Amino acid sequence: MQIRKTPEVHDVVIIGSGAAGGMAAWNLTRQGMRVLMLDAGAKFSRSEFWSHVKPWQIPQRIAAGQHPPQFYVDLKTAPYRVPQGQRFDLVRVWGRGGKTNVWGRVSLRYSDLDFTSAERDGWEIPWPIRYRDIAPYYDKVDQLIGVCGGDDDQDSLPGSRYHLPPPAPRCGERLLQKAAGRIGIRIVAGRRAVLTRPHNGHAACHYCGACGKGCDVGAFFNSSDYLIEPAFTTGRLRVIDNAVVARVLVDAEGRANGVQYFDRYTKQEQRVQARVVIVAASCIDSTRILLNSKSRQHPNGIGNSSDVIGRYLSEQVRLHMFGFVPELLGAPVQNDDGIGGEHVYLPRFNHRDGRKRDYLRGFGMQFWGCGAVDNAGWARELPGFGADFKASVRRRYPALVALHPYGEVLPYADNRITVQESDVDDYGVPVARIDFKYRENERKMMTEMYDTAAAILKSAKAEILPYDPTFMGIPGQAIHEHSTCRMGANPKRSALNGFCQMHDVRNVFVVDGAAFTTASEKNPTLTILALAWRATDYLAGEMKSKRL
Amino acid sequence: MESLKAIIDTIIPRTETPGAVDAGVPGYIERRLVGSATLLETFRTGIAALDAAARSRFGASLAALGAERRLALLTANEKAPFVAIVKGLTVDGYYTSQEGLTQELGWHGNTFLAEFKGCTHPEHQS
Repeated sequence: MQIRKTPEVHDVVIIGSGAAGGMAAWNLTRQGMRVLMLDAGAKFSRSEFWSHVKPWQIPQRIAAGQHPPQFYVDLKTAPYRVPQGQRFDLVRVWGRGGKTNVWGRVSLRYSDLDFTSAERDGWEIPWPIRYRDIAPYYDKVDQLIGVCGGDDDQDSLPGSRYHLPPPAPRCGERLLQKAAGRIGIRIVAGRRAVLTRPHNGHAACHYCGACGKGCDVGAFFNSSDYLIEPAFTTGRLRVIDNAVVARVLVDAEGRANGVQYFDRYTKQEQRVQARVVIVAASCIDSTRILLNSKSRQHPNGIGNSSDVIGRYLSEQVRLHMFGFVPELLGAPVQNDDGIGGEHVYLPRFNHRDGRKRDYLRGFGMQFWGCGAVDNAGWARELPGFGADFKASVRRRYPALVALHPYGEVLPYADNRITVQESDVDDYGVPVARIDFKYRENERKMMTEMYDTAAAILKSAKAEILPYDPTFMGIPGQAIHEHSTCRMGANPKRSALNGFCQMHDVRNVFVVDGAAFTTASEKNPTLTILALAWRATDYLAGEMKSKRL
Repeated sequence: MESLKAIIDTIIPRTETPGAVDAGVPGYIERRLVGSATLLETFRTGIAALDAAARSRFGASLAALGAERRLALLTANEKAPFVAIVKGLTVDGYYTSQEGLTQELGWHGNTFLAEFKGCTHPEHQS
């Protein structure tokens, strides 16, 4: 195969176009850097989104040979392995904006409760940063992308002066709020990256509730419209579509000098050169690239003298509990779409009552799917058939409430991604093998998560849909992978410093979820954006002062 | 297919609103069966078992039974795995159909609103 080499040396090459890569491109181009972005897919066209296709039209359209945008990459193109008898459901979007095209938009700030967790309980290493380091960047991100929510500051969930007005809660959410309050648990306004009024040239939400199909007007943050398109206007961004990155390349001293990738469709190998490489391909693919970047200088993968890269894979353990609140049984059906997903959030509270838990860390709770939704999948759990069954579904339909606690999975050295030279994909590149298990701490936390959700429903006098309190959920389905290239102060126990810069290789930065020291119970995207902004401010300074 | 239609009609019959057969659920399920040989086999054996139960209990095929007897038959077999599967698919198909979702349940979402009012009931406020 002929290998073509582009002679140009870019200031920075960014691998990935999601929240992390988009933020890096936006912040560096506006500071004068010439940036090349490698995207494993191409731009999705908003006019082709199925946002306003009604549920019954979907099978008709598919029967007619039409398809919605193919956000999710298939396993043939992007295979991965799990050990026999285990599961890890990995969700990836290849194409401009990555998962931000279809993300859940929950935008919770981490607090010092998260950043200092290891100091308090001694489990693994502490974060190298504190809330005060990242708070100015949270402020800037909120202002840039638009986050609606409350400003009610909590020790586990900082507020923001820059939140857009939160949407009004739905009836079911209001009733849960009251029920939780009666047992001393506080449910607050949620924080979501949805525009409840026009913001920075982006349209306001029109409350159709179909965000999971992609927003046809771009009324919630996505990396393509909010970061990459503005970066193009500087004239300093170039994007190569369908560039599936395999490895970071190094010079004789072991410093990064470029990237090797394959064209997604022709499978032809290409190489590009750069002074700095930013890895932002989402946690597991970034880690796979790093582990595959083996050289004489980096026999264990680039930047991995500590042997932490690939280890400590963490995410969140979660459950879904459903009930029917009595006030709404048989009530007139309202349009409950709102901003799609919950309008309220239950911040972590288990550190507050002084009672010692038999597990470490904590959980919060989301409430997506309360009220009239566009299906009644829960009805399969109701007993009976016939006219009585039909009537019992109709009576419950407006009264549905949904509780989704999310708990932190601790970092374990053996929850791990590895690669093997003998096991490769169609590009000839070793695939990721994901060995991930929940353990005792997660099982104990889950018990309190189930008990808390049930207690709120009981306080609401709700009928609870049957559930299995031993079910731990399917690993990966929270889609919040973290920590496989973690930051820390000690280079022997971490791969990156607090600016997402490799300890071993100063011109490689990893700015996605892989950089997180711990998962916390919170959704990561807002923190990814803040960390990537902070990292690229530092990087721009280093480049301007010629240290890089 | 007449037997499958009879089962679907028993799970969600026509009342003052359309039933699952009116809403095209047999077609919805058939499209699913085309895509999965395993599911198709589950349906073949499941329907045959229910049909055999109908013949031994009532001396008639499933498709020939009256509504009351079909209901009794399904109720007696509620715990059978196939019955749970066909019920689940009927629920999915019916409550995502225009008839089931809008006429039966009264859903009127996925539209364009200038404002979202949320809960306006004074008695639900704290």
